Amino acid sequence: MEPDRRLAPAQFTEASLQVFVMCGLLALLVFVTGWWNPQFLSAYSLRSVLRDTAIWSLFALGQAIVIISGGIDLSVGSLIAFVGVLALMLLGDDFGLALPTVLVIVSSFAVFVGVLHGSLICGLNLQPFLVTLCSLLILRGLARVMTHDRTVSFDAGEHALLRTLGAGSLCGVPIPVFILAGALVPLGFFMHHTVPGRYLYAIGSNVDAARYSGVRVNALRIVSYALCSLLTAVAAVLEAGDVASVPPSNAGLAYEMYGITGAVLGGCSLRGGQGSLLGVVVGMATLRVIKSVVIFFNLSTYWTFAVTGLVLLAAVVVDSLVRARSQSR
Amino acid sequence: MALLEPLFLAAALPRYAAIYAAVTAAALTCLDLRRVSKSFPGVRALQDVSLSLSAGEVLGIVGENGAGKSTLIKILGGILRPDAGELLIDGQPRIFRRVRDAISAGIALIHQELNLAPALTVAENLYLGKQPHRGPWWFPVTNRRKLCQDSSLELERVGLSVSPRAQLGRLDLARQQLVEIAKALADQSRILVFDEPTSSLSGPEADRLLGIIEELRRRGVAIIYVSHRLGEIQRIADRVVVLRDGRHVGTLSKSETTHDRLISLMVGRRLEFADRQGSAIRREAAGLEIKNLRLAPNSPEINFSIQPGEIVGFAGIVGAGRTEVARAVFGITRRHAGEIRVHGQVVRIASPVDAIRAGLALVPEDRKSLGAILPLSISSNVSLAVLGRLGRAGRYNRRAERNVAERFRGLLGIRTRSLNATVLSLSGGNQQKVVLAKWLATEPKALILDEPTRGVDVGAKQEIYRLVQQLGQRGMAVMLISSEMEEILAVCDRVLVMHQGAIAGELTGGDVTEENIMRLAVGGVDTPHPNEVAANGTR
Ligand SMILES: Nc1ncnc2c1ncn2[C@@H]1O[C@H](COP(=O)(O)OP(=O)(O)OP(=O)(O)O)[C@@H](O)[C@H]1O
Ligand SMILES: [Mg+2]
Repeated sequence: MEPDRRLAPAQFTEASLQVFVMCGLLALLVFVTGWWNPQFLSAYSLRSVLRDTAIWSLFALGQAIVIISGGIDLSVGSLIAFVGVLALMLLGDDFGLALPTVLVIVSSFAVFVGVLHGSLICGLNLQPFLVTLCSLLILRGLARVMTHDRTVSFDAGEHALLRTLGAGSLCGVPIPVFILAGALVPLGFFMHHTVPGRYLYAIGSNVDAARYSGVRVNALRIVSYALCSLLTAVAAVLEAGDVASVPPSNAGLAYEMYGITGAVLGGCSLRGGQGSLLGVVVGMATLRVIKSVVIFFNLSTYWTFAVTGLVLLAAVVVDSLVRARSQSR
Repeated sequence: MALLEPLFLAAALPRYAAIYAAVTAAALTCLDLRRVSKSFPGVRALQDVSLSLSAGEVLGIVGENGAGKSTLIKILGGILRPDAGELLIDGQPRIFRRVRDAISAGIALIHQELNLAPALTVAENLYLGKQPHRGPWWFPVTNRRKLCQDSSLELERVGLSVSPRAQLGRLDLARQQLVEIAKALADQSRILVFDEPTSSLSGPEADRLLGIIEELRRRGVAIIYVSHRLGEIQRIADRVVVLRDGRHVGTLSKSETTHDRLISLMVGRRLEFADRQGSAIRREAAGLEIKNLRLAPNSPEINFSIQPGEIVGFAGIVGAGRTEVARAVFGITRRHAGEIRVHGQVVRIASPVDAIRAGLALVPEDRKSLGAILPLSISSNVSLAVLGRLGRAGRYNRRAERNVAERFRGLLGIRTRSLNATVLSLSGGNQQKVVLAKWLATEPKALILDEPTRGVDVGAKQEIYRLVQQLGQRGMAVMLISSEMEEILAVCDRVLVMHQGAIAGELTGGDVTEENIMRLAVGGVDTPHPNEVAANGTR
């Protein structure tokens, strides 16, 4: 009898299969768009694609970690607005703090928010969707209250460091790309090669199994939310530096959806327990390229959402067909 | 030579130490439960239960479905906290606030319902909560090589030939059960608690587990063993505690444990085992006929037919392919080729919906993920598949729903406070009865039962058999997949034995014997030695 494939080592997990597929799709998109409109491959355009991909990937990585451990964080977009506003206000004339101090304050605040999410979810057994939905409303509201709904901005000359972090380049590569690499390597190692990282997968796959095996489920889930908020705060600072201003009602709008979409495109299952961080970056890059595609094909930018939704739907459908096929064999 | 002497001694020392430990430990009580009580809303699951356990002892716990066995075990494992009573380890009172407290006290549990992470690999599941790692405690890096090596050994021990890097969710229920067992054994705990570990295993695997337990006992491990298979209890338990309605109603020593005494203590009365009434096979067009079924291009061809009123047993060892056939017939997995006929009519089945429309019903082996909707009420679950039929013009008929549920609660003895309770709050065996009731309520033309009495107590089993036979008399064809030899022997008109994905043989009448079934199940032509069966069984 032929050996049962289910008993053999899983050659690639479904997630890594999907990463391959996404890489292919991404390459195809870049190729076709570049062929249609060579401007897309200009240094300027590529740099802006890279910069956005890097900034978005940061919070998408956080989202992915939460999703892998079986949760969800809807507060990302609002947190971006709030942190952006907070950072610029602290830097501004009223407070006049130095950038490092501001970064410390802002990250501590983000970690606090994440720990609060995690504690409410684990301690009171509330649903992640609900808890973070409340944060989505609260943080956006607070950002608008604090600024009287006026856009805050900074003078690029005065705060050159912040500006460079967001908008600068090194050897032609946008700075955020280096920051993303600096986050991706340790996070990837953490998720795939350390014991707590693997436990996060276990928690996402079956919380009871993890709990009954003596895994510190609550602590780890809190860590996942804290990581997500922290990464989001970093993205918020970079985004503020890039744009040089933060409109409290628009900044980061719908970014939680970008994060979730990127994570799913990159192979995360919303049921938890599956996904790779590298895939998330590929997913985010795809998302960003789609945005360019809309522009370079001379479509109205209003098309962006619709096209993104279609691509996501197509990815999910193809994935489920491939999966059904590989399982029925 | 003289030089080597000390070496030999040193090599032998651990062995003596172990024997010494076993001998001295035998007198020591390592676990003591005193007057433990636990209530759930509306149910007193345990009342004043006391028991003690010594090192090197196997304590059996038996009782009807819902008697409180799993509750007791969850208290031992730190999953539930008792309302009253105390728990002593080595004479010291302890309070388990969480699972880790129990683990650090040296207690390992094998749960009645599987508790594994399907998205992870087999190895990661085996060492969940205690993965081998390098690096300091605050930065534990996984050690995959060691993980795989260690798990290979553990898997070999329970006779499971699966790659440690296989994804757990792709294994069938029995193999997952073996992983769960290996996981608990890997803990090296002093107290091992098994809650129905063999409910989805067939003879050879179960035998092997009992062998492992006997070896552990010799090494001084204290063991609690819960099972509805009274034969197993009689074979390995040194003492048996009987629970009934949450109370400790008796303890029997090894010499006192007879089948009848166990049952009368469990049930509180004598049980009559109805003999099989004359079978009601009708010689008309076959109720269910499978022709040239292939699951994959190069897998063996499967043919069988079941007459209306006939109950055909499917025997075989774990992984013989019985569940796969059932799932393919029911349209859950894709068939490569093959024709299905119900009452002589060719039917197209591409999905379970088609199968139900064609008059089939399947009671799946994994009740937790496939059979029951746990957060819904008992009556909603029982009536789920007949809801459309109950109401007129698509209206939801609550009264009819309750009537159906009420009928099966009586017939199968579903033990519950109210039919509005969620299935989640039922004991394992009672959950199984709910799933069974759901499909029996559809009165299908052909019924496929995959391990239908998994975790069901002796009394309720008889009720289930009687019900299945009654349905047979009304012309239903029954395909009964079972790993329990007694079930196959007692209920079936005819037995098909599967081996490695093919039907290895058919037994009827007087040929339906345990030896014949086992011989075909392991693929042997000659009768193998019983030990060999145990050893080869899982290959
Ligand atoms: N979480 C819960 N909520 C409410 N009631 C519960 C819960 N868990 C168990 N029960 C009830 O407690 C009683 C004892 O259940 P338990 O699971 O201990 O039975 P058991 O002896 O293990 O039965 P089985 O042989 O079917 O596994 C049952 O009446 C059950 O319905
Ligand atoms: Mg139980």
